Amino acid sequence: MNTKEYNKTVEQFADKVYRFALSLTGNKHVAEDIVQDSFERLWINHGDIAFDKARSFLFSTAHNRSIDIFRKDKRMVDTDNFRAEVSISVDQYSDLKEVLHNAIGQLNDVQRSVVLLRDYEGYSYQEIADITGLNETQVKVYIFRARQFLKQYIGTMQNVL
Amino acid sequence: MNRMINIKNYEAYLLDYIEGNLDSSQEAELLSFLNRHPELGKDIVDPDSYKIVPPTTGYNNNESLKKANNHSYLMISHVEKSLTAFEQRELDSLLCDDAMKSELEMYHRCKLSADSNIKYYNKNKLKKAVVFVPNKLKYAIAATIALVIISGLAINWFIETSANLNQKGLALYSNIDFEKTLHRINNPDNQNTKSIVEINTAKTKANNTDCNDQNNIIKKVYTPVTLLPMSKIKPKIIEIEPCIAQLKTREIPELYEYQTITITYKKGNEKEDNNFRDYFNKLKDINGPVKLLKSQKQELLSLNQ
Repeated sequence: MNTKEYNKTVEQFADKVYRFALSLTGNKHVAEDIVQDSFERLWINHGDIAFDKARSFLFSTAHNRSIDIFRKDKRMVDTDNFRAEVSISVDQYSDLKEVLHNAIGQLNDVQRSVVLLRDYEGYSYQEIADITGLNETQVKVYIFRARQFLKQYIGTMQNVL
Repeated sequence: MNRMINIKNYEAYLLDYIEGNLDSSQEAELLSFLNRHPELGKDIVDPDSYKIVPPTTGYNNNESLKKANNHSYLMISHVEKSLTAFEQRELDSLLCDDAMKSELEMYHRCKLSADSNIKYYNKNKLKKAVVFVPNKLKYAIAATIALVIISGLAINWFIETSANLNQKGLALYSNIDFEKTLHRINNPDNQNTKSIVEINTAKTKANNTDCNDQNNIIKKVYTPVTLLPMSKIKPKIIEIEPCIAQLKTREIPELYEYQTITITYKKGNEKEDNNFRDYFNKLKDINGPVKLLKSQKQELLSLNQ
């Protein structure tokens, strides 16, 4: 990948990686750090990475950095955003998206990562497995549990709407 | 079992007896045998005592293993678009119930979507400058680099060769004498302000009677002026600047046979002329008597006065 292609990946994926990192961490500054770190690593390795593999590399780096951050110091995460430890009553929200964002915060790190990769980016199970270092079966299990949790979290349709 | 029961095989019959595999005639035969040999059958009181009875304890969580909540799997698979045809039919049958329809819809609503309004605003910081180098410039740079390398090699070769020649020169000059000719050539363009002095160091036959002492000859020959005119004369010239404007060595192919040092002398004031005259006299002191070409003798003498 040459410099021109690298800059193209910035244009194409910086927003997506940022949204992914923001949803993973819930913290704007941490998400920005993750984006910068992901692209810095991409640049360091740009000679060895083909242009069509850059997207996976970026999300893989962002995923790993997020997991590292959570494991090293969970206090870094700004829990005020949507990491409330106590489940919030669905009745307080009129917007499903807002409820879902709160629900995402209740998932564990890996579940959150795989379901975001699946829904935000439309990655296949195998691609998610490659990005996260899990196997395909594990990915399916995590997604299944995440969806079950999300459904339970938001309660019934009547409560949401 | 058609064989007769005896002391060697009775245990096999006993095992069959315990497990209930003997027919009535065989059982009768075995019991008859044991009656004849009571010491062998004394431990067999009840065949059932040899059987291991499985415990009656059961697994109490059978309900948890049942697929009572299979509809979740089907609905999530529907969201994931990974249902098989069989599973799709199974789900369709469930969807007859309105509650199931609502639940399926809820699963679909749980699917996440990124907020496209969220942007990363520091993209420019992530980008790297693209350096565009035109092909012509690339070729020019390459040619320049090549030229520099070639020049370096040539200079290096010249220095090494000169050093070798100087070393060889010691040997060559050890047997020769020199004829030094110093002549002044008036500059045709400006006769009064510029003169050229040439010191010609020429090889002559090795018959100089003043140089019988080999060491003396070497020492004499290895004087700065004779062998290393450029490096040794130049400081002297600096002393009399600005009178000496140019110094150049014109090398002749056979360097050791003929060497010419050309000094362009710009005629200056009286002090400067005296300096040069001193320098000229030093040349004579170092290299011995200087023979002048006849045609230029007068000019040299005028300078040497």
